[in-house]
Amino acid sequence: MAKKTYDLLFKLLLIGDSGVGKTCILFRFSDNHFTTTFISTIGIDFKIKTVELRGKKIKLQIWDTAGQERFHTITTSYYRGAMGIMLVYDITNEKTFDDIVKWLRNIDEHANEDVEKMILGNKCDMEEKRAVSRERGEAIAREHGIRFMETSAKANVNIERAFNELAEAILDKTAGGREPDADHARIAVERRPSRAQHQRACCT
Amino acid sequence: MERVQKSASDVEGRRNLAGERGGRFGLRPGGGAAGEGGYAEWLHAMRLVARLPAGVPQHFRKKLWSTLADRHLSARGVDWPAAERACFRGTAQPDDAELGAQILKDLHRTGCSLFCGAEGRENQAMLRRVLLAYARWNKEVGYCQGFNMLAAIILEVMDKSESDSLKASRIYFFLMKAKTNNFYVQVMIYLVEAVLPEGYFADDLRGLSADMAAFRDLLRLRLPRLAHHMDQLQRASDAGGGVEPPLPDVFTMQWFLTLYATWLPRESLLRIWDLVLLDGNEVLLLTALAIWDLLQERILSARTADEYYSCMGGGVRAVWEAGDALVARVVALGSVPELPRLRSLHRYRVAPPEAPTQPPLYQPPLHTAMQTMTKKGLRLFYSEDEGDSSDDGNKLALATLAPLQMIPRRDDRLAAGDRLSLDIGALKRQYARLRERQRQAHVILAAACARHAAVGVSTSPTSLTVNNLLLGKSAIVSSRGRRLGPPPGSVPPTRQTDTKVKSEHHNRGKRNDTISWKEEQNLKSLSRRNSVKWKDIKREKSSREGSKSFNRPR
Repeated sequence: MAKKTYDLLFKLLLIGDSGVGKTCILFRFSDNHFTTTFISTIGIDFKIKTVELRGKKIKLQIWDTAGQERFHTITTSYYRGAMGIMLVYDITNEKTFDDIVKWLRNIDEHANEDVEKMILGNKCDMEEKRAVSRERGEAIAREHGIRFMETSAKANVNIERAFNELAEAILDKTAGGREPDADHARIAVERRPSRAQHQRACCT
Repeated sequence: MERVQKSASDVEGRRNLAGERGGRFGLRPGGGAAGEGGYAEWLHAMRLVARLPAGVPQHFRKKLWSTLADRHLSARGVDWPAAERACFRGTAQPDDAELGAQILKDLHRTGCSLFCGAEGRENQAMLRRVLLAYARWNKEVGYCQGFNMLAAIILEVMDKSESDSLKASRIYFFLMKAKTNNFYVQVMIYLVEAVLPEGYFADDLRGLSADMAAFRDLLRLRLPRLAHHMDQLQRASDAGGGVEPPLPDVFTMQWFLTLYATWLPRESLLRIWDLVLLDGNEVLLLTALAIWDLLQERILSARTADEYYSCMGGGVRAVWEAGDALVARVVALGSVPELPRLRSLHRYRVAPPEAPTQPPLYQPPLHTAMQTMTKKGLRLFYSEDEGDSSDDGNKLALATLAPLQMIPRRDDRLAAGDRLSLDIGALKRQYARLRERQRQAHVILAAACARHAAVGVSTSPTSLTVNNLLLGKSAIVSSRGRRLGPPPGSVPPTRQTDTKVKSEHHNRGKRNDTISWKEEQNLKSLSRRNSVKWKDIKREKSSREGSKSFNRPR
């Protein structure tokens, strides 16, 4: 068996209303590239990028979803496997901010309980069109106990930081984050031991 | 016009080359001898042309598509001028704001160079008009992300079909604007409503989910090694948590929604579209089969789900480079006779449970009989006079599914989400009812299976019945370890040939078509006595009723 090129695999998910810039954030992070002429995400898509955190090579499998409402049912099957979820809104569009609550409920319903969450207010380069203040973003994040950041895929603000922070938070949770034993961590993360044990306990 | 006529004779030449009997052939179906026969002949000829190595000539494509669309509308008896006025009204409609906002967001996101930059402005405006017109035409579907790509491709075909000199003239532009819009919308209508299965774009995309599930079954039949490998990778990554969605889904979803718009080079893409428009939506699944076949070796070398996703990056390139070779594969694959059966199975199952007051939003067209059975649920098994419209395989499927389908998943997270009442008391009552029904179904099935054995038919389930919502889940087991669900083997599916079904047909005359509860009660056969008795269950239930109320494992 060939050697693995990474130590840990983290699955992340990007959700949020249509047009808030999920795909742009992902492209900025994975390809360091920005264009407005992307294809709108149809259904679901993914990108893969390997980062290094605390001396560990971490492969990020990042799932990007379509924002239009009718896609929600079909994309929720991808929530469960996610270890981290980025919830994106557009600071120039109040409705996308209001919908954050709806998206959080979606996460509660479909994602793993211990999933790491993060709220991103994107398009923060467009200060002149701002409709949602940073304070409101911070407030809702605080209220739900979630990390928050304002980002701009276009101006490359906070994009890498956001992904790194989310990945670190997941790393902290995994056994590998606390124990130096990497081999153990590999198994632990992929199997999510707490969950599996929990389930087995349920069935008997 | 000369070019067009030339192409027509060109096509005729090809057709003769293809060994068809000679006959009149023109741009318009039927030529002089109009009517159904003429159209059928024309359609047949066009199908053959689309299958030739070079396909339909580029400048002929627009005519072909618009003729098909025209035909659909006139067959439906649509008064197009009136519809056109309603669709292209200059004034804003009440529903426009929301629709328009989503359309506006997607105009520059078609992935097509015609709609980018300053030059794309005009094209974007046209795209917007057409998408809005379609949304007004079919309010139920409205606008679905992905339509922008479909409409963009239709525009491109239109664009290429006209000669450049003609396009340059101003008068032409104004004349064509209206015509173009019509062409667009008509082809969109034909594509979405006549060609693609119902529910691909509306109503939580249920039709699409069903087709994705049907395709996974098809993959298991046609490329068993690959399908088995993908299933294994999914299970390995799943670790019992139900966290890994079926591996092909992310790609098939994109393919079916955009008709391969982002996966194939233009010329091959348009050839696939020709086939889809002429032969119907099974070409979509055939194309998916051809692509998976092409990628088979690559995927078989992946050892984990994660490796699979990583290797698909190279897969996109491989498919793109295959181009016409892929179209040839699709043509060579022919047809999918098993598709209607697979589809009806999944269409029936994917639908989430409806609230009792709401009529079903999605009606599978062919299986009304099955549908009424679903609505009636298990009552089917209590009355003698229930229809004999379906075979025993279906009944078995119904018996297992009717109760199972309504049972919430272990963690109570239903896809229907908001629509479900969260009143815990009501849920518990519902739960108790479902458990009871499940038990009844088990008894009936056990009896039915025992009877099968008695008349010399093997009891292993035969049909390809599978509840795709339950795939990968362990069977429901009561607190005492007794299996409550369907008979062993029916979930997950055992893929077998149809020979069993045939043998069942031979045995039909020997017994009744309807599995009826009353009949079971009256039957004093040995198998009846040996099977679990309804009375027993009742007694057992009533004796336990006092002690426990709600003991389903959570």
